[in-house]
Amino acid sequence: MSPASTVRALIDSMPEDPAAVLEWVAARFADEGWSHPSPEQPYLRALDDQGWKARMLGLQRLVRSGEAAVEPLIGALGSEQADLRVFAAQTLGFLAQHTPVEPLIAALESDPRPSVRLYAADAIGMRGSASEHAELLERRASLETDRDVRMHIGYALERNDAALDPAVIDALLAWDPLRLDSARVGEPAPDFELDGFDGERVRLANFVGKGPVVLVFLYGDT
Amino acid sequence: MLAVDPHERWAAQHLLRQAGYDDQRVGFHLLLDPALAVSATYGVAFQMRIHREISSRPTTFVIDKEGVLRFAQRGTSYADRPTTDELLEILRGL
Repeated sequence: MSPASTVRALIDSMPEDPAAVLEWVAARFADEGWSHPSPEQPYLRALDDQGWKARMLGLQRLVRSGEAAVEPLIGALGSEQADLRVFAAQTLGFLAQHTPVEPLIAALESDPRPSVRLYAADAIGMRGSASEHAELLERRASLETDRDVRMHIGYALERNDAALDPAVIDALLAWDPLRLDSARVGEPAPDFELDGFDGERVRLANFVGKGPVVLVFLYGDT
Repeated sequence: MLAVDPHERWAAQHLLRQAGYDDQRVGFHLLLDPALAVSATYGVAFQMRIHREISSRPTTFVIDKEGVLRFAQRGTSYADRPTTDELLEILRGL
């Protein structure tokens, strides 16, 4: 199958119902798919891994379902499959405006997996009004043993109650899933538009013609 | 050069501040992709577990002035990027 038709087949195989989407993602993106080049290195998926695609498609589908996805996602925070709990917490961040704070606090306080606690902290921040829980968050930060989770609790408190920008949800929902993994050497680079850190709006097509472009994807570390 | 980071601005600001840089301005195109749409289009999203996050695989692409993608290096470790010399070589060869 051509790469484009495998993406289409994957999209077609994805269920509609949020609870079913979660099972579909869980079946395709498990802990076993992570490996690391050496003990000092982070974990990476194999180059030919397809599981991440299910995660991205599932994320968009669940966010598109909106409020209807929240209860199944909260349920998934209790899954025995750690990677599914991580995915649920991350997805709830995008649905933060529909998500009650209690299950997020519970995950932050008691999930054994730091990644779950990290995304729960993010989601609390993305709801806006994190200052209502400032005392709890600060206490949690002082008890939290993981440095990265502590940092993300800090983000939630530093947001000054700014919720996730609705433009982020709009961008996620506007994305055509058929564009998934569509960059191919020898073909036109997929066009895109993003906001820069300095407030500039950047469109790739505006650079074409002016000279070559080096496009670097970061994981978020200076 | 365009750099794409999969986080909201808060996280980028915090990391800059932590590293001792100006957290208001970076002076280059640090593009923010918290919706993950561009990262997914370019095939890098969700492929690296680092700092307790599920983040993007470090990847370098080179696009020529006709807009054609000419080079792609998908990292298999976080330092797995072309060196400056290697990049210059690639750019010269376009």
